[in-house]
Amino acid sequence: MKYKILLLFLIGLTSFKANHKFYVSVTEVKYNEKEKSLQMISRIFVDDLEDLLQKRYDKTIVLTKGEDKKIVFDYLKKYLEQKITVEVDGKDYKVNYLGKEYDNDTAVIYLEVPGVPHFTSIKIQNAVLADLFPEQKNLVHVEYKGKIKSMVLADGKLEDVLNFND
Amino acid sequence: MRKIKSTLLVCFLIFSAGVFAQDEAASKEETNQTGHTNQNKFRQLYQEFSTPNQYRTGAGAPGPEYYQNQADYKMDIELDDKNQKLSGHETITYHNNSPDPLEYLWVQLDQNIRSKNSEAKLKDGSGVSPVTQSSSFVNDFMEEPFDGGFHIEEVSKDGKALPYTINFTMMRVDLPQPLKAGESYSFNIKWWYNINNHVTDRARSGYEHFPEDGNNVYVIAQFFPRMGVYNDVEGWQNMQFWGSGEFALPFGNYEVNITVPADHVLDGTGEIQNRKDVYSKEMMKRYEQAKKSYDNPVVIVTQAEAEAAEKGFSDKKKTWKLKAEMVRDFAFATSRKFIVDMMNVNVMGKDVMAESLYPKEGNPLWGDYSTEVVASTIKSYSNHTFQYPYHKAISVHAKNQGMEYPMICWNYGRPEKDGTYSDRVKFGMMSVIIHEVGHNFFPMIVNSDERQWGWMDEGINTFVQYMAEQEFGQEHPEAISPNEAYPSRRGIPSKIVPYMKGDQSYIAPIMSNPENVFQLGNNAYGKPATALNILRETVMGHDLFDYSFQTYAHRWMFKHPTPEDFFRTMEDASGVDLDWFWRGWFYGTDNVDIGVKEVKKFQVTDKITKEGKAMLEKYGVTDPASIDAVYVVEEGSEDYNADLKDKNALENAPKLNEYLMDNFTPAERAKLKNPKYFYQVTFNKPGGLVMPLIVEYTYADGTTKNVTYPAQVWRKNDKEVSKAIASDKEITKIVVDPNLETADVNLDNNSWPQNAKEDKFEKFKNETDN
Repeated sequence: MKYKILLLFLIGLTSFKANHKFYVSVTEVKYNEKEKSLQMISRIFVDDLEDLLQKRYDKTIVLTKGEDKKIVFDYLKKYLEQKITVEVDGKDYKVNYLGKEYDNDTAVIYLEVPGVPHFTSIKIQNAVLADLFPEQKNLVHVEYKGKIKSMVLADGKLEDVLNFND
Repeated sequence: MRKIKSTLLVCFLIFSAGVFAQDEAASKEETNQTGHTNQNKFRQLYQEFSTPNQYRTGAGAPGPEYYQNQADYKMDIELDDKNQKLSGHETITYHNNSPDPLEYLWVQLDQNIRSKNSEAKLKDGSGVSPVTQSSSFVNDFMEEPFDGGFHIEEVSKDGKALPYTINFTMMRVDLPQPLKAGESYSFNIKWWYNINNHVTDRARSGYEHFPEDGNNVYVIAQFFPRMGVYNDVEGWQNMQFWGSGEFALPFGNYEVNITVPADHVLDGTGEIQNRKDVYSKEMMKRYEQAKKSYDNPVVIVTQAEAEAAEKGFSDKKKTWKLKAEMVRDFAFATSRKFIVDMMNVNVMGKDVMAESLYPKEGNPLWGDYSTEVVASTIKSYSNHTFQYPYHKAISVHAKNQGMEYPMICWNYGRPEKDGTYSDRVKFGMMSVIIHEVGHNFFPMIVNSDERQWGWMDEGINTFVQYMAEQEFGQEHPEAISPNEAYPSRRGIPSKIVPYMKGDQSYIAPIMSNPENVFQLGNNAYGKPATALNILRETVMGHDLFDYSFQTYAHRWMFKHPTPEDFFRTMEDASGVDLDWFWRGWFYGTDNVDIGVKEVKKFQVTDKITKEGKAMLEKYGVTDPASIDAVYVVEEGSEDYNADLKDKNALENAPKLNEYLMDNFTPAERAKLKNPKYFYQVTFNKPGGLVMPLIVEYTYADGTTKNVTYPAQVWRKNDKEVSKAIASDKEITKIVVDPNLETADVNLDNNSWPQNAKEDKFEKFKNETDN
């Protein structure tokens, strides 16, 4: 089960949010017919991600263009592949972290799930940053056969199922 | 006469496709069709807008009966640094300038959002998870919550208690007799509260604790019972403080005495009245230097002095006296840790002191940039609105938050412990300073109701922030190097695309209350800022936009505008009907998607075509030869002949040439165009938003021509529009919105011939593989 390593904060303990700070990530998932793969692009604020890596793994980590690429890659791979999981028609699939690029204050993260056949239901867990920020919201949009369906993952509910059989 | 007739006929043939379509629709008319109300995207906003009246005019200006009430405060405040407690005694004088008698007054108790039993803590849904981290379990279910919120000790008038009722974050004070129009009423409130740690609970006000030296940095706001707003639009503003919708406050004059430990350095809203008592001689000397320094900040309290002060913990007290006129709020910051620097700024001929307060943890970043950014911001904003009316603007370093108050604001941006910082931290800090200092203009001076309309200050401010950032970059290239332009995060159209193309279930119109939206950052900041940027750059142009925007700022300076006052002024002062723009961008959640659907090529001929003949028959012309007319024939159609290609209209239709010879002098003929290529380009609009149609035509010789068709091209058909184009050069490429000005969410359909799709994901993957 995927719960084994999850550390979930279940209730938003702060109801009072500071101004101008929003804990949101947006992930676009697209099914690639030709490659039979799910292609994911996730946009996460760099400062939050850096905060996370520092608290979770290594206080000295910085995310900048001049960062230690190997170390950052390994930590992100470890973290993201653990926090983002995909189950298609009841079967677990391996999520591969490919890498990231920076767009100002946002990290654009690329993940791929290879070898996915046509499906009717997809279950996605996106617990990214929920271990650090109780008010973190992760939006996930899935595009499959021309249809886009979405989920908002937050608080105690960090995974959801989308059905594409209708 | 003949000339006119024939010319008309040519036009009429070129547009024949459209005419036929209408005829067909008419013939299919049924007798019992379902009717509909006006859904045209260009319809007037009469249903959405409030009716203009004597308080607020149809032009968007304050009307002849416009009024606003005023609240003046005299306060004595004391900080207990050891116990992180704040207490105060205040006298409020409320001036009822409204025509209405007021039976009661509403006072806002924003601190109550942090009281133990605050309803705000219950506003969000929550779930139970199978596994929870121990610390959060303890926090959620076992620990006593923070004991915040106001303790009201006294509400009185002339020593006699006044009856009051506290409802969550508001307090109603019942008056013995109604306060009549034009009268004033003074009363007293005595209060205290426990100050929260704003870093751990991510709040707008509170302290940050520095365990290394045992000190606190206080950034204190929403700290005193504040009068609510009573006006013509809402009566008493009676929306509680739930956390997202910020503040609605009346203007007034403040006299505030703040007592803090003697070794603290403090500053806040207003002019310090007893600077000589609270500053050391050395600080006074440097302050006098700063008044004369227009190029570089002068350090008033050095880092070494601040570090020495950190160790003091004086038991003595000192009282700082501040006085402010025409402000809507009051805030202050105080600590032993503060380094202070200041620099004078010439803002349109007026001296304004730019100032920064920061602990050593902010250096070297803060010493290098904060005050410089403050100075640039008040100059930029003044140019876009009005001369900054206050005497100073202060940026205070606070961890993790940016928040604005009159003359003073808190800003994030902290270097690493070794003093290094990334570009992201640097630009994050500069942007937040520009944003929060900019808030002096919106909403501190153009005093919109933040509790109801977050976008009116956040969106408008983020828009001006974008311009101020770009201007800062131009003025200080060394500060943004190696970037050529300031890397703005919001305002550029393409940056709002991911939000606007997202799932509609999680997008709310801009015209929504801040409490009820899903992504406040995009909803109240990013989208309205982008909309205004598009309005300025693409729809109205700088001249019309800037004049109208300044008119709005001037009209509502030190007043309380509503959304309609903004919308109406922008239209009234520019002569541009923008109802369609406000409806689409502010009242709805549609996005922009405009594309090229089809391109048909034609040649002109004087040979009678089948289609032309059929059309003439419809109009009762049975013998086409009797009419002096030319025909167009689509490339590839039945009547098309390859001989027609690459010849001009006169070559292909000698009849047209004869006509010209008969009706025009040689001199006139020399001025006529003689196009070779005829096109009908159909543009479609899968997106719901109406926008100008910006098209770049590329010709065979490599030259390009840009044409902007006004948004009104969509007024009769919201789905598609065709354009007839006559050209003497062959068109090889057509691109819609070539410079990405409109926030088009789908670029796949923007080109003819269609571009090979570039997939962002594939591109990244391929680059990584190589």
